Amino acid sequence: MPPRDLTILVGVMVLLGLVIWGTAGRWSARAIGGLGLLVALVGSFYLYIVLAPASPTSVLVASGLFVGSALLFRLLSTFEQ
Amino acid sequence: MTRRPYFISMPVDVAVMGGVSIALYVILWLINANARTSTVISLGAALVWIINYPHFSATSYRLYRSQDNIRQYPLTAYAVPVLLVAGAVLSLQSPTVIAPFFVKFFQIWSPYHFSGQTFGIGMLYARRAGISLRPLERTCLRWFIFSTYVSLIATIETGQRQYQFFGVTYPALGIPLVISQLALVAMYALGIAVLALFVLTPLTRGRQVAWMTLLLALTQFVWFGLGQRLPSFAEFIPAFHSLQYLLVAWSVHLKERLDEERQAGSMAFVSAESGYWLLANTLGGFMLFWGLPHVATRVGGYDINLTTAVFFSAIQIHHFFVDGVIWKLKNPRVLSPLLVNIDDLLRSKPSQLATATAVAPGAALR
Repeated sequence: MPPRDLTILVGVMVLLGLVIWGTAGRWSARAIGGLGLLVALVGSFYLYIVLAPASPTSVLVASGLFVGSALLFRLLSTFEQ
Repeated sequence: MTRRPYFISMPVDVAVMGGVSIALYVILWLINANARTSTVISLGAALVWIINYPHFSATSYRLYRSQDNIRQYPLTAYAVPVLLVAGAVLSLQSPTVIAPFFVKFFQIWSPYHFSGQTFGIGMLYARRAGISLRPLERTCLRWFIFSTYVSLIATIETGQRQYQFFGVTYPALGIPLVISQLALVAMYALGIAVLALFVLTPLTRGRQVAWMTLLLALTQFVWFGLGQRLPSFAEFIPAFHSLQYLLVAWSVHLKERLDEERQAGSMAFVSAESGYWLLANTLGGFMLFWGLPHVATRVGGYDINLTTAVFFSAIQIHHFFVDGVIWKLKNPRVLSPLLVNIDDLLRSKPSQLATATAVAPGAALR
């Protein structure tokens, strides 16, 4: 697996984390919460790419990705609320 | 304003919100039209231009045409598109590692989004009919609708299959069959509970039945529970979902425009504004779904199938975000038009429109 692609994803997460750190106290809680969800989204996508190839042979990974996705979508329905 | 549960009329609303879906399913099932024939594919491909793509455009149009909306949802308006463009670029650069999962992410999110809309419009119709659903009824309805999603995904993602989306191949998760079977049992159990709560209980207690809400739930069941076994029908599910959306979005748009213009409702205004709105969104859909992939191919030299798969995914994920916020407008100055109907749009005076349609801020499709 080419590490460059995944490194960029981690970089985006770090960047978003820094934005949250830099804007904490200046932006509304709603905006900070929204940024937090974006970090979770990018992180979930990263996990998806890393774990999905193993999921057909691992019940635990497959179930985890399935349940995790549904929970993530539920969380994202509160985005910027 | 006259309180009526329908946006246009009972026959039209019933047809759009599920009647046509269910009728088509029954017809295709009766004639055993199991195959996804070239006719079905061609018809499906034609419908996307006039129904599916405009529905995505309508969402973006609603968000970006109003500075108030943009200010209220800056992350959705600015940050999410930037993130998705980054995701699209990464996918184009990495067609075998990132792109398959970018597409897959959208593919498993999409039916969740459908479920959210079904629940939201179902609640909206109950509200329009003046029916106050109890927490248990709401919860049961929500769980039933989302159980169709779980059942669908659990079925699709069972086993070691590969799927394709415009040439981008992505794997099934390989969910154990037992989860799929459990999800199916849960869906039917919750369906029975919904029927009991929404039909038997009101009828035995002399209360009004939320028929439109039930229709939405039944339609969802036909789409996700039954329709997936009939590929000729499944081809049209996105169009049916989009059609539901367009009816609500059109009505809301007209009401907002009338309020902005401080005009009285009239056939001339409704016709002109409807024509403009439809044209704008048809063109918008064309630019999004044809323009963006072709520009990316032209500029970056990528394969058109890859750019189509990636941008279709990005646009739709953006739609899921936008849709999640624009129907929950909390700006107290914005009076929600979700309860308006065609008679109000055609005949009301400006003052009537502005005051009679006030809905609690946050009255939502989702």
